[in-house]
Amino acid sequence: MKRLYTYLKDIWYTFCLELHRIFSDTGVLVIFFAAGLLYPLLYSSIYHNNNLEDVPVAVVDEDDSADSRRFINKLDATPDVKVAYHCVTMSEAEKLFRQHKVHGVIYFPNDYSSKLANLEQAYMSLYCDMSSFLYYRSVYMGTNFVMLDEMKSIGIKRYNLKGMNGEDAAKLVEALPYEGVDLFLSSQGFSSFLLPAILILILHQTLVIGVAMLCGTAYEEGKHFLPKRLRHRGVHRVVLGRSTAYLVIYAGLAAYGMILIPHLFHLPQMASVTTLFYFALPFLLATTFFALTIGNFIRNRETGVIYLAPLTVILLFISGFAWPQSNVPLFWQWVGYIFPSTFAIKGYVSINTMGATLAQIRPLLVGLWVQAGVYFLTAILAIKWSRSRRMSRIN
Amino acid sequence: MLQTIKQVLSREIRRIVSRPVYLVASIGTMTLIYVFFLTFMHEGLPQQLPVGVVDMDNSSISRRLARELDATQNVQVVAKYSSFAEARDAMQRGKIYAFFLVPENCYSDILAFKRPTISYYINQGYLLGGSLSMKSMLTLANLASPAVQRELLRAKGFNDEAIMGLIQPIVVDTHYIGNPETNYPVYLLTTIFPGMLGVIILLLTTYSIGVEMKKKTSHGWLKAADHSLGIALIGKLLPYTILYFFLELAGIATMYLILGFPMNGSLAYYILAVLLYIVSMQAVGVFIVGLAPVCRYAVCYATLYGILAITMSGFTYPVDAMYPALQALSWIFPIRQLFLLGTDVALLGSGFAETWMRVVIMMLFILLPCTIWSRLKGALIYQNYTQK
Repeated sequence: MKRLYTYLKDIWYTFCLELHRIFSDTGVLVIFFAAGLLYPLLYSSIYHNNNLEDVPVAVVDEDDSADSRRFINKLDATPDVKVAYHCVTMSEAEKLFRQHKVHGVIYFPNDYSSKLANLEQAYMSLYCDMSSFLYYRSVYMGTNFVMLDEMKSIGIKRYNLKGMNGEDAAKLVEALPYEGVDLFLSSQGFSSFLLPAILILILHQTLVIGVAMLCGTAYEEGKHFLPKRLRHRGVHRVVLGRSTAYLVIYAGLAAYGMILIPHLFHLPQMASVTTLFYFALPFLLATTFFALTIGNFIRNRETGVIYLAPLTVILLFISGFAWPQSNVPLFWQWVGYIFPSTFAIKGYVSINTMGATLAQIRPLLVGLWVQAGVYFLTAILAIKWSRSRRMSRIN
Repeated sequence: MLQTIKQVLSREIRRIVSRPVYLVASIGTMTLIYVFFLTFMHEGLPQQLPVGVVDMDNSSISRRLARELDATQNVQVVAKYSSFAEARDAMQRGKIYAFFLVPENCYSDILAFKRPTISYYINQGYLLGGSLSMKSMLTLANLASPAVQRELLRAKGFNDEAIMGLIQPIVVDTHYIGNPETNYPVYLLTTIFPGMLGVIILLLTTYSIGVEMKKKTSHGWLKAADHSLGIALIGKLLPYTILYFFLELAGIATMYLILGFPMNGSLAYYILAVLLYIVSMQAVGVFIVGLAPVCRYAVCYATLYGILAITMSGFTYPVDAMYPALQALSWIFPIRQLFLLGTDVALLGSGFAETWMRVVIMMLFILLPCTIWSRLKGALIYQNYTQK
């Protein structure tokens, strides 16, 4: 009984000590709170515009016929594209393109309508701005949807000329109609796609970098050593005490990033608070113990940041999020399993954007719990290792 | 003066090799980034994305659709499901990006002109995987009706030319300006590489100056420079400028010479612009450490600014689509200028005449340290900021 009491008291002691260290260190506060609170707001505002709407394009209509004008009007009516300029020559359009005033040029040659009238295939040209994937996607999709729509009505007319009447022609033109459904994201938005991953990555990176800074500072000041009163007791209570301090802070930040921000910015939130809790718990535990393990090898306050900050972009890709998981090379998939963010990004997107249940993401949760267990042990071992190294140096 | 610069320079080189952080953080990190992204995206555009089929008809036409989908380069059919619910579950588990559903009696309905509808379902939770599999699904869906038409028209005795006029009256000839292969890594790597180098430049510039105050060695530094801050900065930063330039050259050589990324303009001009970008990022680093002459804070602020810079370059999400206030914010990042210059030179083949504005703006960043000149000098002399 008494041992349990001392055990809890030791944890409480390291917990308070760690909180004190966090709140007396402005640099760590900047990483935890300024970055942890402002980055989600900033990134949500950057990607606020769910869809890239009305991308400006220029039209060069050498045909100037009812057919080409109908095409242009339909194009202007799509949500993807806006016909911003009508140019007389291609060189005029090219100039606008080079000045970035338009992100696409649509060209109708002067035989467009005559070819249609002669029942031949009519050609038109589309020039896409490839400086951004999203411009290309909007201009390409918008033009192709209008083209398919036009083809349908022209096709019906042609069948009529061949002596097939309305209903039969329509049936033939669309012998096998199709419909496309976007599951999970009705808006196909960029923010709903990217932000959930970024929110998780912000939690992961601020926690790891902040802890690394604390560990580096402690080492510089010679305080990384166990507090005197704990010297001959188990190291795990130090790990538990310190982790509890981070968990208390990050429980708040996680609720902010995973619940409040999606609510404020109308991002998909299909997971219930309970589901999010069962997901966030292993995520935060794994990240904390991971950070404590790494922190033991950091000798300077600044070097931790210098090594860890550039990894952020790699973590986003390795998670199989920005790049399809099925196409991540096997070697990098295994490297990805080292970082809690890999499982967490996929897990959060699955439960919150796609409404998956905890059972459906079980492999990811198991991954996070295994990481939490392994990194808890390595954190203890790392502290023991650096203690014995230091002891041998003193002797 | 040259003598004093040389003095600071050799002092700095001794410092660089005395601790691993400088070389590991620059050469090590950039090598990791190059190796990572080049092995990661070796395919160019992701191919053979996993998709599924819900075949409730099990006829020759449904099997043919599945075969044709499987034959496209972008996707491969990895599974057949017996119900919608099963396929949806596989999608939520992240096994497939898309599936299409062929309803019961599809084949007999086609023959009876009842126009059965095939549906495809896309997981838009993953932008790239979703978009690419959607392109394949759409192509297939648009080919399905014409294929049926072609069979029927041939049976009626039409010749092939007349058939094409009927089933595809309009042909769109698409030109992908500057990137004819629609190579996806071109979008990412041309900005991620200089962007990541920028983060490293900021971190190491703020650190290498900040640590002089932290370890109270700034007097020795100024003394070597004959008490001129200008010479002190040039001597200190020059070895890094050369190092960063060679690191970036390695990336440029890989992208444009080995991988054959499009470069329609002058590569030499682009390389000069990159050199200017490197110097302007160093200037921003000096500015940050001048504003906050405390090593630990300067490094933190450099991180926050550097990571944001990559996003604000507009390489994933166009800046024009952001809030006006954020559009204005994009001006405080040199990478934004390099991105605009780079796409113009590489894709449109523009030269100095069209892009001189970008060069001028990047040069303005180099003047930034003037605004904190005396503050930084004071901090180096008096070491009066608590380094805790």
